[in-house]
Amino acid sequence: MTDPRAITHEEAIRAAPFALRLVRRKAGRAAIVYRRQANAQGLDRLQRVAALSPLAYQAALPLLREAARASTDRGASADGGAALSLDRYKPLDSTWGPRVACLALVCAGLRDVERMALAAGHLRRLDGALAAWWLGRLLQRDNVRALRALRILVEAVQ
Amino acid sequence: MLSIRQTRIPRPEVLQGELADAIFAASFGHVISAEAPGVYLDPVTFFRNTHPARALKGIVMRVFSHLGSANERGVSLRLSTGFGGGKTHALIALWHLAHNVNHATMGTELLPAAGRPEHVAVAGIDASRWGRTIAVRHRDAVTHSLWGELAYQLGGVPALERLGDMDKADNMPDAGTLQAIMPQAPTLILIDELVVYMANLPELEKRQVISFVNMLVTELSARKQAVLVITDPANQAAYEDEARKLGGALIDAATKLDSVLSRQVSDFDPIGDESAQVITRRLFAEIDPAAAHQASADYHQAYQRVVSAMPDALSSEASTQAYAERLLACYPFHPRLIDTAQKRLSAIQDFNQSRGVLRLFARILRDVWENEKDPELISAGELDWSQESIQADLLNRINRDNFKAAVDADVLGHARELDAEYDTDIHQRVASALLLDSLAMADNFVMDRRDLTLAVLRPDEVGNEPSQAIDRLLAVCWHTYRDATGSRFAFRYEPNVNKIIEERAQGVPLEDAEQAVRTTVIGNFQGRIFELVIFPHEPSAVRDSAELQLALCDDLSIARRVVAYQMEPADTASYPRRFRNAIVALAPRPDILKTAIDDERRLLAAGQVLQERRRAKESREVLDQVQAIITELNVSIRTNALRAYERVVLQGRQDLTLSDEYLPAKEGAGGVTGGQQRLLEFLQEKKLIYGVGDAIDADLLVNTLLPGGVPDVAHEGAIRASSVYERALASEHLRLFYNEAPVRDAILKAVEQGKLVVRLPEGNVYDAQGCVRGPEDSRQRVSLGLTSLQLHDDVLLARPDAPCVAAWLKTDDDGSAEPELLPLGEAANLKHTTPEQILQAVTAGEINCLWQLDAPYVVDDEAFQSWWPSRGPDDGDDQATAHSWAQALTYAQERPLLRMTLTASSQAAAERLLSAAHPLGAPDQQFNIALGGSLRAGGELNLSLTGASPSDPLKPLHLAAQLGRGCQQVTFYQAELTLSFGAGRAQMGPLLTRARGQQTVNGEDALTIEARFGPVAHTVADD
Repeated sequence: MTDPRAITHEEAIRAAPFALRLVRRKAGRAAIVYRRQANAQGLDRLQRVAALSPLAYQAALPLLREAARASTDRGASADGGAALSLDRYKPLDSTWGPRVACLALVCAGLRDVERMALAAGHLRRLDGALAAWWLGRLLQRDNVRALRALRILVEAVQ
Repeated sequence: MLSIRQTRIPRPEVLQGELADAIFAASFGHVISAEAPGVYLDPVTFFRNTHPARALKGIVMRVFSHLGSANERGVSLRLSTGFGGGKTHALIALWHLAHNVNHATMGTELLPAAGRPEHVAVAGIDASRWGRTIAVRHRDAVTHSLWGELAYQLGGVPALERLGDMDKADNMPDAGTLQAIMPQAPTLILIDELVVYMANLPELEKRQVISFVNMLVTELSARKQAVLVITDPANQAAYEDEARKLGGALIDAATKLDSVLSRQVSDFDPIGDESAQVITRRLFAEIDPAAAHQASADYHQAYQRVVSAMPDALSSEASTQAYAERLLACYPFHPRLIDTAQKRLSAIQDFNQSRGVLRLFARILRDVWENEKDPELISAGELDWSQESIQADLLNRINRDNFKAAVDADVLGHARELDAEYDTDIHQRVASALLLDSLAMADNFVMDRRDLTLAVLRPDEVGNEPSQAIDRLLAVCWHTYRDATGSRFAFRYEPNVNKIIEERAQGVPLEDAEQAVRTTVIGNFQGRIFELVIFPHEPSAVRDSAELQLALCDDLSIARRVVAYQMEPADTASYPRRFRNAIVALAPRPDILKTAIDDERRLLAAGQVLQERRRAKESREVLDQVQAIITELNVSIRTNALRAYERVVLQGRQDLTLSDEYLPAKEGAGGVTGGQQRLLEFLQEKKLIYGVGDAIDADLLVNTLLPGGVPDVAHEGAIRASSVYERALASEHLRLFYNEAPVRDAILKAVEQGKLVVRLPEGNVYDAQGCVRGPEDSRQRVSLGLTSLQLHDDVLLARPDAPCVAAWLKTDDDGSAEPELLPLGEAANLKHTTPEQILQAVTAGEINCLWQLDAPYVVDDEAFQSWWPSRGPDDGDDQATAHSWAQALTYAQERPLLRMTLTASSQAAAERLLSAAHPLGAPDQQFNIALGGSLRAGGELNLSLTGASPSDPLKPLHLAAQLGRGCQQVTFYQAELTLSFGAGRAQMGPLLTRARGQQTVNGEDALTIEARFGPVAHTVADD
């Protein structure tokens, strides 16, 4: 039995259905969530779903850490660590990616960081399949009602 | 208040040596065989230690009255014990008195010397030490049965030999034989623990014993001067365990004996209700009655006070005179402690009733003396559970080792921590009392708040301390429980939800808890005063910005580096932060932060536990308890998280600590927000930030800040205003800047004082004399002061002696230029009046006029510019209309403002409408907006909004602006805001000045005004 070849970071990113990239903003660290989709030319590319503002990033850190850790555990990553480092894509698997993406969409435009933390807590415990379903609803063009509903469900708003 | 160490002296054996069972265990068998300790064997010592309880005296008197009187018939007495060792103690007292009956001074407290018999034949039996076939081995004989032993003790070996083969447990003698072995002298037979002996006998022999006792009672009742005293342990809870071991034999034996005795004998309780005095007498050598009275009075007074002030805190029974007498009788022990010992602990099989109580109280006493404690009364709260001897007595001996965890974790752990936190000892006292009562495990919940108060309250305390203490203990202890109503409490050895949560909390990731606490802190410090920078890891994560920033930092070290540097100093270079007066950092106090983080872990764990318990359909009581813990933790976390961030770090200054008034209250900080506002108030109070109306010194501005500013290459000697502000932000002599107002005000002041000349982007130059403006070849000086400016790059500042200033102030109206002439109609339009009124002013000599080609032309000079028609053309007799800000300000001095219309002719100016109207506070505001323009893809836009409210959801201004942006070209724009003031509002001068300031752009009015004023307010002169 031969050892499986360790995949590189680039390979892991190329295979990942979702990815997260940390960036630096004026008010601190922020994050951008990407999802692998076909572009206009039919090529699979990571496309931006939404950004987590510095406030949302802080509120979501436990979720992001766990997402990075779990994704690293499942899909091997060349860099190995689950640490969130700046300007580097972090692959997310199909369980955690939708949760993180949902959170980014839910938190967009919100300012109440404690509510965002509450939402992150709920999404962290949300079933992966259910998160994917919600993400599908949120990514539709007429997503207003879905977004409002999910915000209420995860207590991002009162 | 006198402590018991001053008023009582314990007996030597209490303070010294090992507190062996034998010292406190009155074993009748050992006294009979002369093997007992001196305190029981020596009659003098024995009677000194014996409290003459009424019941005991009654027994002794009854026994010896029968023995001493030749007329008295024989009698049988049964001693049934209420409180432990009274029965055996009574037998020993009778034994010693019978043996020393002719010793007149012996035991006189129990039996007067007069009336004693001269000699008593005594037989003492402790059957608990007997075997089935051999009762006692004497030096000269061996007895095998109850009757054999009686015969030996009453008649010696000859009497035993007379029994012959009948000295067997299954061969009871007949009545004649019994009569033969009984002596003729007064006879006292004392039998102890017969039931225990009987329990080991087969049924036949047991019946023989019962029959013999029956025969003995009958025989004695027929004789003179003969007494049988027999003890009966039936119905004692303490024997339950023994009974269980013996398979019910003991109970059976006791029942059978009881059926015989109850028909023929009298019952006695040797101690009755004097157990406290018995204990006191046994443990103390000397007594000071005055101190007992004093202590009783102190406690009685305190209890009355507490019952009166806080009826829920203490039972009213405690404040009665009867309880005061109990306090006196029990001194130096608290009656509640005696009750606990008697009613709860004594029920425990292995506690050994009286000897257990005596040993426990002796332990407490020794502890008080050894540790030089000074209580006025000894209560359950004085128990020192840290002592191994106390633990050995109260846990190990009575098989309550499983409570060791409660002792270690709660009484010695959590209670002690709470005591340290609150600088008291009430928590340990309450925990100690509750644990002591809980040891019996008889009830689920053993004490309520009143019980706890009674058990531990001291006279110098308010009264609610125990109640508060139990609440705090319940929140942290691992083995405390409360009932569904939350009113009764107990210790149990099983861990409670606190412990479960605590254990679960260890598994909660620390970083999750830290992040949750950070989130709370961020939420508190969100706001618009400071630009918030969230937990930068290094200085470079924080921009060097002129905007006021607040950096929330993880620790003091990062906070100091962030405010000091733009980038981490390297080996060879450092990058100090330039805008030192635009940044402040907050860092936490590590210990408080750690408390918050620990609590957060507990909270996360409690959340998990709650979910699990809900899924498991746990009882409502448990769910409520977890929910209560979650609520408390939420408050605690918020309080500690927010209070932790108290270290204020500024560049070049000593670190400061936010004082208590600027931190959330310790008790419940739920919902507290506004951290930025509180920080701002703190900085203002410490004079570390410029407040509203503050300005920096004009000389400092001109002499210090201006010289180092960025010069403008096109104007020699001129400095960019923005750079002056930046220098102010970098100056170590100045405070933090909330905005540029302090610098701007200093510039205005310097201009007014003639120390500075300002050039605005459009070329207007301001100095102390006014303004020079106009196109390059026709610049004129007008008497217009600088009211505001923005500190931008294109706003230039210069000293009056700077090379560029002469050119800036050069005017073209040096006398040779002809003043501009205005046609009458144009002049009337400019002044919003009619040509007739202009002509009237010309006639009155108020303005100048030149006639050219027979037509009058108004000279546009200073006289015309400063002239305004006294009344509007449409004014009635009293009202006036102003068409300029200056005129409005003039009218406002003496007239009430009725209505005002502000008009903007561009979208940029329209943005000032609301800010200009804001200071006036008009109750009624209406917008009229007209917009016309050509659309990008062809077509025209025409918009007309009339009478719209500024707060209309349509957002009129915003809508017009949006439409305007969509046009290729806006051909017409006008926005009017009409403010109505009802019947008029007087003294509007200062508000109009502020309103004017709000709409001024670079010294120019952006909005035109039309203001309607009421009649002049006449003041009535005093006659």
